[in-house]
Amino acid sequence: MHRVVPTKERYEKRAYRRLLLILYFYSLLSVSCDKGEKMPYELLVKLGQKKDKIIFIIGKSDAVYNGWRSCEVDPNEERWKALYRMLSGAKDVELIICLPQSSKRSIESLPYDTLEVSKIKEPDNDIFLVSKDNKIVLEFRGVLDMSLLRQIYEIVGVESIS
Amino acid sequence: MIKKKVLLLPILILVFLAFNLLLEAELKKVLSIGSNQPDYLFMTVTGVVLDEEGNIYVADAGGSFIRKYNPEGVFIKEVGRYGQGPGEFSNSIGPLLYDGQKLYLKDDLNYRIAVLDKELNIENYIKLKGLRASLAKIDNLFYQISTKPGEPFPQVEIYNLKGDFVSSFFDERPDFFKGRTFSKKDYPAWVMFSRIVMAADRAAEEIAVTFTNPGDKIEIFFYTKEGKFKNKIEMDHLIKYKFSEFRLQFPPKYPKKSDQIIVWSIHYMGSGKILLDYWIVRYELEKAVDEKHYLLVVDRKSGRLLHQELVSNDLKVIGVKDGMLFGAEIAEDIPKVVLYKLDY
Repeated sequence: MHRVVPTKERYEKRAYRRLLLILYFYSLLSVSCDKGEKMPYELLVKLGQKKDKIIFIIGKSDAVYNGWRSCEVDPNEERWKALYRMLSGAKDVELIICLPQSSKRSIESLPYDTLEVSKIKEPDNDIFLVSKDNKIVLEFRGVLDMSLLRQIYEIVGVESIS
Repeated sequence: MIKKKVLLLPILILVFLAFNLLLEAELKKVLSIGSNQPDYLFMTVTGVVLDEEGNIYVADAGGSFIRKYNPEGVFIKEVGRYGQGPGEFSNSIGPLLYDGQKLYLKDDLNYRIAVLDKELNIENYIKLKGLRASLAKIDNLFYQISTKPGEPFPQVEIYNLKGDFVSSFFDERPDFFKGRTFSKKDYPAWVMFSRIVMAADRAAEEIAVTFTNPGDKIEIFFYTKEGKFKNKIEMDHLIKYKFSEFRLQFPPKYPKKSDQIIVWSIHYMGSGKILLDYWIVRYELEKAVDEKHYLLVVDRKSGRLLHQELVSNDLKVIGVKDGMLFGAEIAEDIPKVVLYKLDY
């Protein structure tokens, strides 16, 4: 019986196919994790607290970003919690998304109304940008007080909260 | 002889039942305000008062605002935002007082007291001298707690309505510090374990002061509104408690197990009764592993314990007036302002 000895070229092709297959399954797995995974709130809080610079984004529920729903950092913990509570009743608002500063992207290009906060663990210097219909409609620097929470609520969630 | 015993038995049973009923009376919740809606959303409630019509005023340090609700808990108005300017509050506001005419909101980090009318219009500000704890008011005098200059011991300072210092009082020491020599090395421990809380009774024109960390017994000291000592009452703890020596060392050396008693706040209830917000915290090494939260009602004159009640650890007692207790608690992860009837 004739036995085909794999040449170097064939060997590389096979390895390449295997690599593609692994990548394909890995991407399938990661996509399904993003869509299905509901990360517990407390875990997100912990994750948020580990980062020095955080961006928060609020988006609509059909546009979940990274599967993350909420996070918060000190020292504004109670305020982030209040924002989370205030918007958690919204039917089509998927809550706050937390990303490291390096993942920052233009909120005006996102396909939903967003809140982006550049957070440097100094509440007086937090920068808030809220976009609606691809335009920034609120820009604010300072502490997330009730007055600002109300503005965010009106822009992002007022129509959908029962 | 047997007849006497037979007669005595039902009386003893009745006394026992009556005593138990007295101790087992429960707080009755009459109103709860709080939801995820912006008008009803709270963060850190630090002040709750009621006016004569039953309207409820709430100060929230987390959100830097003060709100008014009607007696049914329906939102009427909100004022305030974070900042240092007119109409703005810091994120350290409270307590909130009502003297029958005006509302007084202490704003620590802006070093002032905001004076508001019942429609929440800010009428003026009273400047405060530095950072002081607590706030009470009788007639034209304010009371605040500070530390004596250069010493770890607290005192009560009296200010007039313009914010000018008038005088100070309180020279007492907790039992466990008596006979000990203060050393600067242990300054933080001495400050911590000398802390006091106070309450004012406008009708009796009287100030009550007690230690936050009492020793073997709770002592309440009474003063006139001018700061003159009147008398003192003493009572045993709910559970016999011995102050743990380890807490006097700095840095602390924690034994495996220990308890700490904390009198978090003191309130005049009216009708010659005083309410203590009382905690027993059990530590294992340096971690708190169990907390029990009690309300103790004591007789103003004798110091006799009239009632004790185990309540939720989530309940933060903010004020007491006319048989009502105002507090804040978290129910189903939503912060709420709660009103309980003190039916003791």
